[in-house]
Amino acid sequence: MNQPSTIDKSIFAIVESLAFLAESTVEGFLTGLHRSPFTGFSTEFDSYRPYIQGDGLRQVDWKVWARTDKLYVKQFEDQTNMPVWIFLDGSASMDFGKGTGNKFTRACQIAAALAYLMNRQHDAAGLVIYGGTRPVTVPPATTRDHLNDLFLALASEKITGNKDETGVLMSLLPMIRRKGISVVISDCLAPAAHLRAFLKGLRAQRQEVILFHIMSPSECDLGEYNGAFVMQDRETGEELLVDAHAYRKRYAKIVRDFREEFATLCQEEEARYHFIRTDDSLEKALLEYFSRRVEIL
Amino acid sequence: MWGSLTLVNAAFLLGLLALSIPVIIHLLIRRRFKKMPFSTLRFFLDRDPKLRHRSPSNLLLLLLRLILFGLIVAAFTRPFLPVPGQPQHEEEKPRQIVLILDTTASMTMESRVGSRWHQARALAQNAVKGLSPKDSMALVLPGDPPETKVPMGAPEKVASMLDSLEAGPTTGELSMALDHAVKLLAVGNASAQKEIRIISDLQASTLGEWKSKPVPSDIKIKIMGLSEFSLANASITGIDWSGVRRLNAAVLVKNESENEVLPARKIQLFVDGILRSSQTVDLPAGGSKKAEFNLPELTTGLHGVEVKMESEDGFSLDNIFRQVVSVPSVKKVMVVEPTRSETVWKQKSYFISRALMSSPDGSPEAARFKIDTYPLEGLGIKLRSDNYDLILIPAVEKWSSDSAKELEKHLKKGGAMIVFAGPDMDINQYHSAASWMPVKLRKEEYNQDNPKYLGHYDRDFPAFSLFEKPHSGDLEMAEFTGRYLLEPVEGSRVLASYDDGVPFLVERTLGQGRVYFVNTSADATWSNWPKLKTFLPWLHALADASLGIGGTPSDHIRKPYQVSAYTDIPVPGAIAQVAKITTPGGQEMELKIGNDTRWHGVKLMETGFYPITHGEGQVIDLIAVNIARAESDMKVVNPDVLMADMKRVNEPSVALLSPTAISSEPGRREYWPWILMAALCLVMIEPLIANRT
Repeated sequence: MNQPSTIDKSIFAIVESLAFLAESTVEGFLTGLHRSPFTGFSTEFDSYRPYIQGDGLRQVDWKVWARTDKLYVKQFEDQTNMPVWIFLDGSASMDFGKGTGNKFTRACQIAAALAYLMNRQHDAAGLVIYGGTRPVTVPPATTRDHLNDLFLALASEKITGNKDETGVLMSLLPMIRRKGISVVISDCLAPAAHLRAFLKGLRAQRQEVILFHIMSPSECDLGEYNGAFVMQDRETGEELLVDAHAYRKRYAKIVRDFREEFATLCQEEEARYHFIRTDDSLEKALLEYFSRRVEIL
Repeated sequence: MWGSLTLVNAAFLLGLLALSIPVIIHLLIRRRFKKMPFSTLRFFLDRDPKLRHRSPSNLLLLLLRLILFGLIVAAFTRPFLPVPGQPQHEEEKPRQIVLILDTTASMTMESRVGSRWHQARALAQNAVKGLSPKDSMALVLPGDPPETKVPMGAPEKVASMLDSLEAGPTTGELSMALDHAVKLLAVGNASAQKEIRIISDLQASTLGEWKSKPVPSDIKIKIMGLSEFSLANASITGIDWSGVRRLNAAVLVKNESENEVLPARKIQLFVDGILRSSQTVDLPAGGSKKAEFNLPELTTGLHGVEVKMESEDGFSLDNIFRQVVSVPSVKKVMVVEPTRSETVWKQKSYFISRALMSSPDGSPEAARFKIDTYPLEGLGIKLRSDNYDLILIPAVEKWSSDSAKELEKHLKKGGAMIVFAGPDMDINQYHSAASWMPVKLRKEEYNQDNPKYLGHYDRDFPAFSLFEKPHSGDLEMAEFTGRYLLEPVEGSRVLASYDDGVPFLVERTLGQGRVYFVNTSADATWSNWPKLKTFLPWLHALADASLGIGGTPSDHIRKPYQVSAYTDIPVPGAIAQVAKITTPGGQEMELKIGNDTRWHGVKLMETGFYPITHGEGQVIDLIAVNIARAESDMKVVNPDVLMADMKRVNEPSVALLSPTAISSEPGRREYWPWILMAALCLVMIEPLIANRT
């Protein structure tokens, strides 16, 4: 991680807003879930079992003891925490779009919301931001302080631009030791072969993989572009004269084919592919992660 | 083969400058592209190679547009190659010649070597004889406007016309005839050799705008002057008139020759064809003389005045001058005398009666008004039995109801009335009896020590406009010590006011008649004006205005017309739509009034008098026609000077879009249709390359 010697104060404001956004989104999301057909996990009560020596006194249900004069311990559905790695694409192509429509900003918000949800469910959330000059890594943990570290890492990271992240990604794989979930948030503009190798590696490390393919709306159909422009590639700097109006239809089809290509690739590599636009709600990403998590349990 | 390629309109090659237009557009459009950062170009680069090659396609488009412009310019230059076996040299081509033959008045001059016209006709006949059968010729006569006497065709037609043609009293500018000839050649055969030949005495005064009329350089011009250019001539240039009924005519005679003293000449003056007077004048070289004639008193109506000079100079047409004089009818005027004084100069009406008895310029023998002075008593009875055109009333103390009613009837019938103010007028009685008055009197005001002056007056009103001329008198010299404070009634018009704004002259229209109130006395009681020289012309003009007679007496002298094929004549007064004009030769022509009050396009081709009649021969107007003054001028211009002054232009004589210009000419293989076709194909291809549908 490109850690600054002194932390810029504005970063705290970003962290705070990121935390607030994550918390409000997740809490709202969970409230919605309670009214839905999904049953809870982790903190949800499952059954009672007789007290055995070594059980913590806090787990004894004293009300049941008062009624029955027997000691019973409350059994919860989820008693284990799971490491979840969030791989966030920080390449130059992610720096596209304005304000909250910026792909990297939106990806950070998704990562923050997921991390908060994981922390809330006692899962250990870890973070890797790749694509910059060197990767930023926050190892998985379940504490509240750790969540703050993770938010700080998201808020501090800036796009520096690097188009070849294959080697970096592959070098990260050995640090994943436990079985768990890996969430990859990327615009998938790296060569397909590289991404395929990375997904393969994750699977080899016993990871359930969810790929969030993020794109901005104007990337999908050249929405806001009209007339002729000189388009400049964010990553390579290459320039090209494009008549957006004349090319729009053809472009939209090419992008659709591109998405389908990645959906197929993920299917082949037993990863969950999920396409998300920067103007989609954060809940969409949370729901995708949540349903996958339920499947794993 | 291409060495002999010729361009008809090489000047159009300047159009190649237009090639810069597509280049500029191309450069401007290139600069306008906005640079936009985008996440990746893979969706453009990998899938659509066409886009990558957009710039070369733009260059192709630019090249295509340049070729397109070039082809259009090439088509306009009309390149052609000669066809073997067809005549190419100028000498081999057929000729189209327009002959301008001067038949204006000056051509009738008899010089020492014979008549100018005979010389000119001989030259014209020789010109026709020299033509080959494939040549064609047209004959144009200078005039106003110029006339195509023989249209373009076989030269024999011109030859036969020359036999019957004579010079006449007409006039016309040579430059207009030249312009007419150029236009004739513009619609002719484009492959023919163009030529204009001018046969004229080349008078400097009838050249017109010679230097500014453009003549295409491909038209050959040949000016054939006459052998003698200098000639002695005396002419009558006009008449200066004075008087109205008893006229005085000063006839202006001029020696047109700058260096020849002419012998004494007899001048005769005829009125309506009757010799009235004659006298002899001698003329110094280049000088003018006036011959004064006093005419006897003329009757009311139109009179034709003709002045003739007995002369032996070669040009007789300018020895006669005609003009029409319109003598106005005598108007019947009643001057009411309210006092019973037998001493004439003590009467209130003394000044106004004396003023109207005189002519406007003060001569007593040419009075325009027949004046009856009548007492106030019995005025009503007098008006019932007698009609008057105008009634003048000095201050009347009281009106009898009978007189006031008869005066109202007089106004409503179309009569005119001028009422003066004066001391001791019964204000209340005036209001009740004379309801036709243009003002309501309020209060009498008299102050000998503080006289008033005329302050404001309508300078367009005839009674005041005549003082606008220099040395015509100063109205502000008159002093007014007495007047009435008054209010103009509704519908009346204040024509003049004192310097403090109190109305001086107020007009009111009642029925068909007009009544004027003059807010001062008619005699010298309240004003010194009747003793000043401005009073007489003012009263005459006011009387004329009240009677609806416009203008000044000099307007009764009609301006003569000059010989012309197209003249507009103003219609005198309100008459029916159709009238007839009779030429001096006895030919009758119908006249029709146009949208305005003029007869348009009247042909006045002879000198003399032209009566205009209406209904059963009632003469409503008389027109005098003389030759144009310019025709008398003896100064001539050298043909070489004329050739040098001519404005030559490089435009082709045949208009670009005339039917003959579009068709291919004999002896040439023209390529412009093929070039234009190629350009058309490119126009169709261009949208395909530009990716337009």
